[in-house]
Amino acid sequence: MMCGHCGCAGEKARLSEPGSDAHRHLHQDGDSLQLQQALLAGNDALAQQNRDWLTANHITCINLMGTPGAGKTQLLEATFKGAGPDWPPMAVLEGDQQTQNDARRIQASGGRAVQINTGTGCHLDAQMIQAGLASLAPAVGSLVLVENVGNLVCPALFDLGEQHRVAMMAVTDGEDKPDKYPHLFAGCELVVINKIDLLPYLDVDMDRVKASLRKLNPWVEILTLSAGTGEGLDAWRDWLLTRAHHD
Amino acid sequence: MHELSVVRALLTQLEPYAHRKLTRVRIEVGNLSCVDGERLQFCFDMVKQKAGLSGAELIIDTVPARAECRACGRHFTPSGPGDACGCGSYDYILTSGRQLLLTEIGFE
Repeated sequence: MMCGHCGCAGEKARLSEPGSDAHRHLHQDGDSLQLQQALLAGNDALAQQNRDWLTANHITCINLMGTPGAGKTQLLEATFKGAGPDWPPMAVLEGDQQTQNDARRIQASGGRAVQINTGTGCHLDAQMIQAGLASLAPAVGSLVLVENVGNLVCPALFDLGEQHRVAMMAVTDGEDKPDKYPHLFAGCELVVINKIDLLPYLDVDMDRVKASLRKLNPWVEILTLSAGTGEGLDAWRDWLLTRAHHD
Repeated sequence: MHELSVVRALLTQLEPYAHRKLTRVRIEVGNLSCVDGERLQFCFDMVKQKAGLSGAELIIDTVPARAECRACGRHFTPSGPGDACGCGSYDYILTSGRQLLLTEIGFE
């Protein structure tokens, strides 16, 4: 008899939990062991611990990913400067290979920030976030903004335990950025397109950018704004506050 | 170069078998997983001696994506991200293609 799920012989030892279809077999066949084990299971387990801790403390965590120079730090600075008295407490985990520059910029805007330097690492992972959260010690009910390493490839693969993923680019990045780096833009719930104040000087077809994004991610929300001039920032603030009040 | 992180995760999963001599390690990589097979192979070969796996060969099975269209219900194989279903819709659920799995460990 074959197992319908994985096709192995039914007489093998089977490990399962009542009420769940998930199961494992012990496929030890002398010289080989057959498995179905997620390679990133270690990261994913830590990410789940982070998520459980955040949820238990009513903390909303946003993973902000995007191109280097998209204006991620600039957007966070503007967010702190524009926060009203009705806002939840906010704190930032800053990811960069080197320097504390971005954490300093957040502090100068009146925010709390812990810098995570990844060294040669090209992305943040769940373990770094766990250590970062322990060091940041965000208040119950707060909003934690994680600024990932500026990179459109690697961060997409690593769950941090965040509840929301945001991808960010700037109009200066070129209209085919989503086509060139599809994974990141396919795996987020919001795309922020910054620096729209520069549109008059550029040959960028925003409709084409949006059409590309909709092909990769049909239901994604798209916000166009300028963190520099403040245009469009209200919609970003509304988006953040809605998320914060929902979690 | 997140492939090195993936190789590091793989080595961690192989640790419980360190007392045996491994001859092959087979993994399944979905073609939409955003992991490059060749680079993965390169990273594995780079570190395998140091990890005590000099006799182990990494075999990568690249698995094509499978999708179920939300608009027409059809099952199809997108060749890349942002590929439309035959009905023209981009709204589909990936049933396979993002996986990164350790599927077999071979011993001497």
